[in-house]
Amino acid sequence: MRGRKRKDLLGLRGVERAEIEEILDTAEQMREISRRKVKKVPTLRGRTVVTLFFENSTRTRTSFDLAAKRLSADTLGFAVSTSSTTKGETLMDTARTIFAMSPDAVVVRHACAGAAHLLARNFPWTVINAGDGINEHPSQALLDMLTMRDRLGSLEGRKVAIVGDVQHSRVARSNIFGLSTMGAKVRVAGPGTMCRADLAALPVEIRHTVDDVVGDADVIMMLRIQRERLGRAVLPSAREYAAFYGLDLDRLKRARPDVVVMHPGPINRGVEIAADVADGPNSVILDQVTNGIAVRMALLFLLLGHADLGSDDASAA
Amino acid sequence: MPRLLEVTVYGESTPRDVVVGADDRTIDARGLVLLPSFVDLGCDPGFPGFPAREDLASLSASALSGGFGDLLTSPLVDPVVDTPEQVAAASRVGPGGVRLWPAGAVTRGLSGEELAEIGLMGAAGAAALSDGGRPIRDTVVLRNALEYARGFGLRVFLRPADADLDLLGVIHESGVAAELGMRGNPAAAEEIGIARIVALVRSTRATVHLTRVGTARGVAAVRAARAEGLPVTASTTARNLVLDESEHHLRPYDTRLRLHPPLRSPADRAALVAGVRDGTLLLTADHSPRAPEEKDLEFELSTPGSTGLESAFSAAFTALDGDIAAVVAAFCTGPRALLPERPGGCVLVDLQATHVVDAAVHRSRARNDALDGHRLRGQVRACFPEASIPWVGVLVSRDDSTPPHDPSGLREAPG
Amino acid sequence: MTRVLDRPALLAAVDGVADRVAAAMRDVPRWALVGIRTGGVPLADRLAEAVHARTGHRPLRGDVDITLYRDDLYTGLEKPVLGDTDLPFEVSGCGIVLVDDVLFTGRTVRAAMGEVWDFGRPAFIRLAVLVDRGHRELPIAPDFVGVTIATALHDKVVVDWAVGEVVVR
Repeated sequence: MRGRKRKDLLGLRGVERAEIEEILDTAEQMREISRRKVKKVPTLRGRTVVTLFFENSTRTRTSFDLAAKRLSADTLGFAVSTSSTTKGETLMDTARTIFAMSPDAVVVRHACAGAAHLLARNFPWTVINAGDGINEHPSQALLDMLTMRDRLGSLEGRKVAIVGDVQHSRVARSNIFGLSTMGAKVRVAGPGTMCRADLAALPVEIRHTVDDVVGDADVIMMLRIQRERLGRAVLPSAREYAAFYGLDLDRLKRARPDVVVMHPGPINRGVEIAADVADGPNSVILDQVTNGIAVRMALLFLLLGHADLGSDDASAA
Repeated sequence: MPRLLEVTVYGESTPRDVVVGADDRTIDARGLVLLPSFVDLGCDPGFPGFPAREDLASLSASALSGGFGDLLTSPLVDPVVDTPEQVAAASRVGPGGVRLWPAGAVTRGLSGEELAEIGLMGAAGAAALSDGGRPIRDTVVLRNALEYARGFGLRVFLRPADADLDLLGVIHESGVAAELGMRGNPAAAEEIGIARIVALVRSTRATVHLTRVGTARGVAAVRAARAEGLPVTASTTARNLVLDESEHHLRPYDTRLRLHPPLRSPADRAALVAGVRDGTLLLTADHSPRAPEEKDLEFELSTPGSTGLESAFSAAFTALDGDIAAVVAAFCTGPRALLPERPGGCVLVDLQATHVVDAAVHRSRARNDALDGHRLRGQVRACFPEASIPWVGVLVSRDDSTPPHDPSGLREAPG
Repeated sequence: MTRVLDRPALLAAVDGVADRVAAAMRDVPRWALVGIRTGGVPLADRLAEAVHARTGHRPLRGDVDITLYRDDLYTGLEKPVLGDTDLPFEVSGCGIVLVDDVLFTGRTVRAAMGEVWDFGRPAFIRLAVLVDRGHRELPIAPDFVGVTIATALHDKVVVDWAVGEVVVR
């Protein structure tokens, strides 16, 4: 692989199956580190990982931060939404400032699709997309796939139902690309304003009722409803959404008894998912969190943990 | 007088020597073709008010480099051209003889609310009226504007778009937008916009030119309106004949492709080419210079627009598969007929050459040509906006449904 | 390519290491054979069997994968593949015998010691290897050695358990 190493992870669209498998296999190994007494290995010592978040996200940012720390990288957090953009500094200007700090990797979250691509094109460091607009959130999909693999073994031929605002969900989109590459069948369901016809360009089946997708699903992934969408001629109310698209125990009874219930979090209890389902035996929501750290460690290790250039001296091993 | 040696004058079969201007160069023009110079009916001049975009010298140099002698300029500059004083100030002739024909605002401040001083602007030399591509949201205001402009014999340039749908999305709403995770702008925005304007033209009989038409249904609606005899002309941009949404796959999130309206589907592009070929559509360069700081941004946040003067001819010639008569109709004779006077001017082109568009060497101050990197056929060699040529070949429209064309403007005696 | 040990010699070398390890660990109450992935694992398995056969005592077993502890991750080696690290016993207070097939520069052993340390504070660490090929770059010496051979710096020493030989390429 020397000389052809991937520099960035911008999305799962177009990423090959072997590469996804490598990430998931590596993440499985990484989980062991989090079970040790000393939850830290020296792999990325002296490397600097910057988290650059233009949107609030405590969980994704802390997950990347902890992943980097467990690999002994130095981490530096920029939360820009509250400071520079209001002063009119552009993404590129912020990135130039960060460039002066010589990072090895930048984990970026931004409200615009393609923001991570813009950085990847213009700077030499590794860029990991932690969410760009409605486009992709690849590390979330990878941790979802790792969680599914834990429960189901192979993803090949598995049926995954994704329910909710698929149109505007980068989590859904990255899962759709990744799962279809891994041989799973994805069905989506949601209100018409959140599952429009142009989604047919993606490798999914579009349905409009939850019962259409839940019946024979191996996995049900409930998407978070963004409260700010309510009442903007997209969705009439939270209770109407819960009535038609929420996952409660009644709906769950129509699913396979061993169905895996997932949610990227944070949860709106009682809206997209009932509390007793979120906390119930089918739910793997907390496993998702644990796997998030492992997947992000794997990504940092695979993207940063070896060089594509340098001496041929591999004598140490 | 500069003399072109052994040039092939468009419409003639035997090369001859032609005098085209005021200096005493001689140009070996063997193998080259002399055409009437081009008109851009959709020029955002970039000045006054945006010094990083363009000034008169750079705009003129860009126009000459691309073969354009005449530019109908948008009122969407700073200050907005919505008074007779601004119109008078914007009527300029740039270095090399490039003529700027200002369009005056339809509504004051381009706000879509109150009518601008349409009559006084006409008297001050406004070549047309336009709100700079902004849709007029209020249908009553639009109808009043059309009725009022008609009384002053001014053509109203309108970009057809439903004002609300127009704000949605940043690329064409389709599978490509779904794949790339970008918000889509629906074709219905344009279809509704055209239907609304055509309905008002039918009742007001105002003379309207629809700009930046980009959809197959839009072309069909224009064709139907013209067949009905309504005083409607329309144009698309030369780049729309070459580029479509599939370009976003090749250059994802490239802000040079941030255009408004967005590039539509390959089928739409094919319909636009057919529309130009059958005379339904004229062409514009849709020159929209943008400063680096307007493009060096996230795709959604970047300013829409692409320069066009220096690639438009080659784009059209390539997309029309070397049909030079169609290019002349769409870029010369057709647009000239929409200006208040019939300008002269000619351009020397090499129809055999191919080249790769390189915005870095363009004469425009801006570098944002969406066609950058594309290999195109046909290349402009020189432009003589002030030249009067003894045209022997009669330049006729290819189709009687194209705008009325007065060939006398192209048949002046040698100056 | 030179064969430096054939099958009988290889087995004899393993037996020799097992003898010495068993003798040295006789009075240690709690100790483990820890294979260094990947070459050390089959040797550690064989040593565990051999020690059991000699003493009736089955030592604790663990393996470490030192990929995350390498000092050359950035210097151009082939894409690393992570293996299991599995130390299924309390490391603190335990005697550790690290096991590898070939001892060369000593960097792998250094990394393995670092990794073991992250699991707890061992009572001691010893080192058992089948082949010591020289060219040490660190102050590391084996406690139990099968054979010592002279090699050139760029030679590759390969232990092939399936065939039952050690060759130098």
